[in-house]
Amino acid sequence: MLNQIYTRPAMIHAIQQTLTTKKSVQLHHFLTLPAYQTLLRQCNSLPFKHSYDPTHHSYASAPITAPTFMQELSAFLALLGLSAPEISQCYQFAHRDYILRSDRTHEENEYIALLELTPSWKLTYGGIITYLPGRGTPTLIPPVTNTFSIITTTTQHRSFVQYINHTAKKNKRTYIQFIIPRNRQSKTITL
Amino acid sequence: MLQNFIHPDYLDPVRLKRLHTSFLRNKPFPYLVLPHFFQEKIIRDVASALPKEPFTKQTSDLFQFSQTNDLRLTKNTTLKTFYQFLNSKPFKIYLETLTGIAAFKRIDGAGFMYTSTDYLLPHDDHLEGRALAYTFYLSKGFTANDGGTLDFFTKNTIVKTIIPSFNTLVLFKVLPEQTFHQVSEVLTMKKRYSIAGWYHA
Repeated sequence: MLNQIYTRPAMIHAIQQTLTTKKSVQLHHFLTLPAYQTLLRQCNSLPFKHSYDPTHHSYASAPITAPTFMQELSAFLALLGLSAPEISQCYQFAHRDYILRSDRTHEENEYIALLELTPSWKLTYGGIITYLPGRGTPTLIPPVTNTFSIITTTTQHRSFVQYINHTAKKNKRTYIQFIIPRNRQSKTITL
Repeated sequence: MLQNFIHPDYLDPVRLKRLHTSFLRNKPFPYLVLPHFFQEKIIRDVASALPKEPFTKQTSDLFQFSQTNDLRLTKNTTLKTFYQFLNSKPFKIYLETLTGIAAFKRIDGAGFMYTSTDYLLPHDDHLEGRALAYTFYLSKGFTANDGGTLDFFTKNTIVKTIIPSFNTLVLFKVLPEQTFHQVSEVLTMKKRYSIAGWYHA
């Protein structure tokens, strides 16, 4: 279940304002604790497949189907005026994993959303996700437990995941990534 | 001039011919690993001078390490003399004998320091003009368990691992989309010093 504070009209308005002005927003304590724990358990039981292409990436991933959660998330995104996610994938990054900056372009005004499930993490482990806009300030997504981040992308956007070093030991960064297509009814976010 | 810097074993014409053959035959791409390459006195002085240079931490999606300015700018006389040797015509002719690569244009050369958690992820080094990559190691006591190895790839597999041993020179031909290599993460508190760069053609 979503933290109900985020469904209040005033909060919805504030999130929309932040997305419009800053092009990204991070919502901490996004799920209630039981819902977060359930989703983390679900993710950890997925059949992860490791993918390694040395000049591009090293990580494990698995598609996730959590119907109850997805329904609730889609309803929340609808309150923001955003479409339901088209792709939902759970990622796990361990020692030696990374994604290099690639030339893959995003759609204009597409959104990427991340739900951080990592229980605990130190920034010194690495693994920070960076979104580089064509111009302007990069958006850094450090692993903060139970945080939902939304990033507005442009065709100029590039992203990478910092290499995870040996100090992480057995810790893994786990998050769900959602691709939210451009809302075709409305190109701007309005209440 | 060459005999002032290079160990006499590496000046023997018969050995040079054998090394040239090895360079061409080595897989996954042409390379040489030359242990005990420089004269002991020279390399000791360089190894002692380099850590005193100002290093700047460099980070990107691809790497994390500390680096000096290009050594042509150094004020240290030992390093300047050494850089001038690397950039000298006799040494470039010598490298052509070893590799068959005529790289007589400019060189790049900087000092690098990798310590715990530093790395350089896989890439091919290819940029306009780079013909021959070189690196030589200035730290003692590195083992395979310490990380910091230079690894060569064929597709997704490491097929050659070079431990950064003191006074070892590594040369490899720069080929686009072929010469994929990395420096594996340093796993100990040891400092891995090297001087590395490219000969341009």
